[in-house]
Amino acid sequence: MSEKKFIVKIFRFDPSKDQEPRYETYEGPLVPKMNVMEVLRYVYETYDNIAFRVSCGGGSACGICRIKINGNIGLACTTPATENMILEPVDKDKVFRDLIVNS
Amino acid sequence: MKKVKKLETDVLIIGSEAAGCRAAIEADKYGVKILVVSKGLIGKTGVTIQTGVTVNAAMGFMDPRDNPDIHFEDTICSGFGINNQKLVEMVTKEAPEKVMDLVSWGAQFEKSPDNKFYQCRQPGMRYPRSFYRRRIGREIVSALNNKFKTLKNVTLLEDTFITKLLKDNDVITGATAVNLRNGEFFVINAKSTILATGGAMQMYSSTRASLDATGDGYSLAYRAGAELVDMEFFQFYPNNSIEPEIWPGRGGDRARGRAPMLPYHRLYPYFYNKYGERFMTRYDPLRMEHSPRAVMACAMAKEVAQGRGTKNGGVWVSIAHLPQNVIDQMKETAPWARDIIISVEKFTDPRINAVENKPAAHYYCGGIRINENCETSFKGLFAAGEVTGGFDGSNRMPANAIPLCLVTGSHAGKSAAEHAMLLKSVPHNEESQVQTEFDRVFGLLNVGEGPRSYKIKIELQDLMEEYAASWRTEEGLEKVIRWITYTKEEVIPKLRLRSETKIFNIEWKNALEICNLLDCAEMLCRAALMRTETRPPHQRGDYQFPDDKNWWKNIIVKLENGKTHLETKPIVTTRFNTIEEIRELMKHEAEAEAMEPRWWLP
Repeated sequence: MSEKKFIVKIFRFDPSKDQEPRYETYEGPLVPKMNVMEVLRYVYETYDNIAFRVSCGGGSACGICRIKINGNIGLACTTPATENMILEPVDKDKVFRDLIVNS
Repeated sequence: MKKVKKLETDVLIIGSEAAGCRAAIEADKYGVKILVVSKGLIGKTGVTIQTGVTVNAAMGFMDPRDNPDIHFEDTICSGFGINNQKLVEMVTKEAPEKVMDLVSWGAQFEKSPDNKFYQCRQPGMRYPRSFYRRRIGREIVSALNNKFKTLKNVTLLEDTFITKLLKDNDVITGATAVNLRNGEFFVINAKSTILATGGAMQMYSSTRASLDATGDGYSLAYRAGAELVDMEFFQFYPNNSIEPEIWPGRGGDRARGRAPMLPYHRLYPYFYNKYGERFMTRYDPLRMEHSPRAVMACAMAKEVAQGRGTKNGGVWVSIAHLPQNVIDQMKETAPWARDIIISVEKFTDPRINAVENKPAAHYYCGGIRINENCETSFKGLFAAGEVTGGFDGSNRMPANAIPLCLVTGSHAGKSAAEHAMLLKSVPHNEESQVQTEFDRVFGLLNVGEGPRSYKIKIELQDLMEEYAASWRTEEGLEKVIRWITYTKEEVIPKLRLRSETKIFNIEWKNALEICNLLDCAEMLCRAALMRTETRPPHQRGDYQFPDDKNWWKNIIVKLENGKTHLETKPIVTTRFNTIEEIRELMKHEAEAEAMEPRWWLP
């Protein structure tokens, strides 16, 4: 039995050193009932110091983790993870860094 | 060090949610200049927004016999007698007014058909007292924010992390801060400073609380040398499902064993250990599974510690004893019951099966020592909300947190504003402190190979969960203290990040937070080691009985000459001058509770 994987493309932009935004691809194990917040934390812990907002940690209480998931705006903590995902900030023109925007 | 930017204000409020926001609203009435700092975004940070369903105020809508005096007695009984009675008197007396303020600012609570506010009764309450609404945290936060937006003298700084309190001899003169948006380090000088930073639930791996709850305020006060009280008392929420995984993802991070919180006890379930024994018969034969949170959490921890737990380190919780039509009727009449049962039904049949369950870190009962004016042991420093200690005693009564935040918030706001009005000019600190703190903060911004902050946090959480939750022994606590000392001295200086960006460097922020968590954990373990008795939720495996004769007192923790100093102080009393009176009342309340059923909805 082969284990399921997620492949996620994440919008990366650090205005203090990057000329242009770019997308980076990361992969990891797709466990049952995984959500996008867990994908972000997996990438943060396994690969790189990506910037994303999190506060209440799940359950859509605070709504701070709002990002664009496959083109649709949603909460990372309540959106199920899928095999292929594209994660972007809600507004690419207002990015502080990566997925965090000036709201 | 370059010359750092300096801001000046009359009142600096650290924390922007229930307590901080309420303090700003109060201080604004005095026309002083106020600066509110949040490490995230206002209304979306911290734990206020996570408040589940209830808020206490003894208004007696459902039962006219309820009043602040009874609320006072219930709170003392829930806190196992070691509450600061002056604070309890203040909060219970003013809670109705402060909760009604929220209503006037737009908060809506459930009402009965005749347009009276509905109030429900929870464990530890003699009469129904809790205002009820699903997701009540949102109501509270939006009501406070509605009012906050109308304030004239307030400046808000979001995404700003306070790193240290500044002092001039024995006066707090403000704080140093880092702007997370651009990494700028700056100084805020203030006539008065209010800490309203919330709890430290992130010390434990099993928690549902916000990832912001990293104990920043406790650590700020501790490092400044302020007195903290009752730091050994940490509340655990008894019902937290491990298996099957109900409400997936709500725990945020399954890999860490962060289980979702499930208010299953509201359905009056039975608890079983691995042998199928209803173990509460041994801990609270009168009230059984209606026992206070702390007693249930201690009972579960003891079952697990003595080898009677389930394979995942929990106990079984079940409603299978309820006849099917009773369950169906509960689903129809109570929305909260429907939510819980439907959630469970997706994974297992609750009419047949039990759910595996483990307590989760829920609330820090201890905190900064304050008086009725919310003044701390330092001039110029005030505290409000969960970060304070004394009101809850050893164990917080359900739904008592928001009244605490609102009442202490408004008192701190008033005291801070009045203190600021007495001073002619904004005080200044000695420069050397700023340099030292600058070096510490930017010393953590080092790129390379080395220990990572998130890994240290996981290690701490696992150790605390195992040795410092509701089952503590001398050996276990000493082990954690040794690890903390080693980590502070050897690991933190070698901490490395993976990028040196100054824009939202999450790893850098986590590094600052883990330093705060280590301070909290150290205070908790040292105080827990000193208290050689069991007073739920503090349960010592090696001292399993309450010892009122030696331990009806508070432990005070403070930093003195670089070392943690512990001492005891007598309980602050008003109405109950002996523990015997309180024990008598506790017994009486337990019997009354066992006789009279509790209900959630009419």
